Amino acid sequence: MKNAFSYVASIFVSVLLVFCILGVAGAGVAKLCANSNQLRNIAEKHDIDEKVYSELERYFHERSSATGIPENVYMDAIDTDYLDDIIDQIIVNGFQQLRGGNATVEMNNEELEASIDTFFNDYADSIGYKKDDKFEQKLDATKNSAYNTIREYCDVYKFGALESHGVLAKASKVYTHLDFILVGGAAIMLVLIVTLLIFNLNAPSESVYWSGVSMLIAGIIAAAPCVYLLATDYFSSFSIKQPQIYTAYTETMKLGTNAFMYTGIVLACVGLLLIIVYAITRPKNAQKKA
Amino acid sequence: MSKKNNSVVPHILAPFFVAAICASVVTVALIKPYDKLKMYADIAFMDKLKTDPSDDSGLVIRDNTIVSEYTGKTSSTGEVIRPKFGELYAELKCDRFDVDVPVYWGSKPELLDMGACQSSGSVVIGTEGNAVISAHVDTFFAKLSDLKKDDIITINTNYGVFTYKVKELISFNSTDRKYVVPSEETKLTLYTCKRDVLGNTNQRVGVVCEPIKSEFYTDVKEAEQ
Repeated sequence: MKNAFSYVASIFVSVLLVFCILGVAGAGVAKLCANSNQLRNIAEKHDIDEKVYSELERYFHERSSATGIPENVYMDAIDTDYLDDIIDQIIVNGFQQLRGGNATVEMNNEELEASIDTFFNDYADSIGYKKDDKFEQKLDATKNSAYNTIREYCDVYKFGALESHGVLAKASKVYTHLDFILVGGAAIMLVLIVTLLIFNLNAPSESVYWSGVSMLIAGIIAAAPCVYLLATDYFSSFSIKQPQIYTAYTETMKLGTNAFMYTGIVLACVGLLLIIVYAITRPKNAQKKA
Repeated sequence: MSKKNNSVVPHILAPFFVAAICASVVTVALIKPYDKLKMYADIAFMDKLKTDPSDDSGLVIRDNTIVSEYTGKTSSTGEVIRPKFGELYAELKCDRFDVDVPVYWGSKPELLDMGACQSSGSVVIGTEGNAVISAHVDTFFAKLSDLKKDDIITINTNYGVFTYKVKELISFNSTDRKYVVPSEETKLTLYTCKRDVLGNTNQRVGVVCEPIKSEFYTDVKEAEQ
């Protein structure tokens, strides 16, 4: 009866330990992968600034027949370094907002502003157009539209959309507590392992077995879905029209999925090792008792 | 020997018990977060770059910044600022929603991709009559069917903030115009498609809300700043 009780109780504690391990693993992977440095590295590694440049060129070219402004007015004034700086700033600001802070993007628009000014002034001079308030309003509107468009194209992780819909504020509640989740989770893990020891006082090595089972199951639950997602190339099926956003998101998700998968594999291997250690040492204990 | 076998069998079965329990709990627990994550992804990726006034489609989408922290004086009566078709003119908030819902004036597929749409045949928020707002069920109105009677809905505009209370839960066929026609009674009608695993549905679900508070900004210029 006592053995049955400790067996059932150990199963219950093992289940709790599985979720605790998954929580700590998840928080750890989130801390490792969801930070501005990782996202900036992805943007740099996959030449996202060049993709943004191509998309902007296409956009301004398509608009040129409607606006009368050739795309080279914009594109000759910007380059991939300029775009890279904006992409980096938006990513850093996004994570600052996740941490509850605020920041603005400072765009160095001198060349772009000069280019638009020159085009407008030359055009006005060529047709003898009076440079009145209306002209200035049109000029300002064109510049602001250009800055906003460039900024939106550089927001490859859609921080702006997430922030305007209140999603970043909600995500920040979890993100700011990642350290607490890690430390708290580790503390709870310790408590659960001690509980296993208490339930198996007659055979302390049983707690090694149950800890191993928990780690093995946690590892399988973590790794199996990730293996499926990566094997089926699930993220490549996202129907996102803009190549820079598609690349940024799919590569970030692949990074996170890979990290979680490897964490799961390590957990499963350690769990299996503990079970094997228990299986090897157990018969000696039984013989000694006999 | 049989004693040894008896103690080995539970140890072989234990991982399967733990795995079965954990897998069941994980599956059930992930249903809601999956729906939420999908909704966030749909909202983020459907927020396309805006068109310019000179766009050939004829639809001019104007995104404004809606005032949410006005500290000046308010009044229970005042003037509304009538929006233009395609203009972002309000923001709808409710504790049961996961996101703040932008409200565009006029209904078009492009606008429904970006937020909720108020029928231009209905009245502007803050005036007498039926204000009718709809949105997609897989994005902005994903949580509309969670609303209950007496839930509070707040609508921020750049001329005032208006508070409503859910009075009635409704369900109707898409061909039934009963809830979306003009009325003398001042109310807010929110609706969306009824979720159906088989795809498109002709049923609509929503709520009818009664106004409980109107706070017109007395200093509209300060609000716009």
